[in-house]
Amino acid sequence: VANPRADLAVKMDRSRAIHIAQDFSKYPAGRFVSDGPASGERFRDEVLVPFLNSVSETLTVELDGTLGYGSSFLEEAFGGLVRERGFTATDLKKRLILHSRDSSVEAEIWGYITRATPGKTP
Amino acid sequence: MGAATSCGEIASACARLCAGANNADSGGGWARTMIPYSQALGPLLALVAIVAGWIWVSRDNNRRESRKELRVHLNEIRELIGHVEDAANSYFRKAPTDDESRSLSVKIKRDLQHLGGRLATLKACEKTFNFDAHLMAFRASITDGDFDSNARAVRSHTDRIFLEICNAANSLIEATEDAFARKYSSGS
Repeated sequence: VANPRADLAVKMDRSRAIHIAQDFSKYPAGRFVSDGPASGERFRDEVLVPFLNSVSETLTVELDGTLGYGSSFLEEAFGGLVRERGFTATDLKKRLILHSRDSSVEAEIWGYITRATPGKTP
Repeated sequence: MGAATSCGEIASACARLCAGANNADSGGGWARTMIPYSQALGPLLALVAIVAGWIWVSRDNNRRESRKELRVHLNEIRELIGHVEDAANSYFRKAPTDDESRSLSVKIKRDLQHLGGRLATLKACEKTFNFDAHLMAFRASITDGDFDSNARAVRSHTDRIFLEICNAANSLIEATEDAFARKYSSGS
């Protein structure tokens, strides 16, 4: 019987990881760059997309450690990958591992990725 | 000890009764054989009854304590939801440039994170206590759209967003109360 925890450990070991609190900001806020320096758009374009383009396998995004997330940040950062940057939901499901103590944050992000339509504003 | 003695006496009396009945047709042989067993079995049955009673009372007490602890936890969650809702109502009535608006934004995100953590703890204890969908809807009702945006407009008291926040908060509270009621009304 497969051990999900062991599987996750192997995947995390083989992939690169982004720790938002360490690699970006402890206070993520806002949707667009015009909303502030820790916006979802900036995180997407300056951290997430370069990481995704540089790794061929999976990328782990560690969401814990910040002061919390607004939906606008999450939608722009992750839904924006499909809407604005040409990634597909299928590809992201294979390559992105989200990790948070609060499973509702992970589910919310996957919801934005799945519902996003290329070129269409949310 | 008193219970054990009385049970022993009852068992012995039963045996004597059986012996009397059997004396009429079989000369009391069966009863004479059973008397020593019944005298030994009586105290044993009493002990089993005492242990079973203790287990039942102990389980009932544990269940009552768990129920109380869960009730306290849910009350705190309900209070936290209320704090987030109040903060959101104040936040959207202030201009984005207002200092208090910025601190309210931080408070809302921090409290939503605490709320997520507390609900995650509940889910870890009891699988059926999964409120992810309701929490997502509550978080999105407040922090989606132009939340944290510098271009955000100040909302009037009658703006639709306040109704949406209120509905999402109520929906989350109702979901937790329903789960609590289901758990403790089914007798599980």
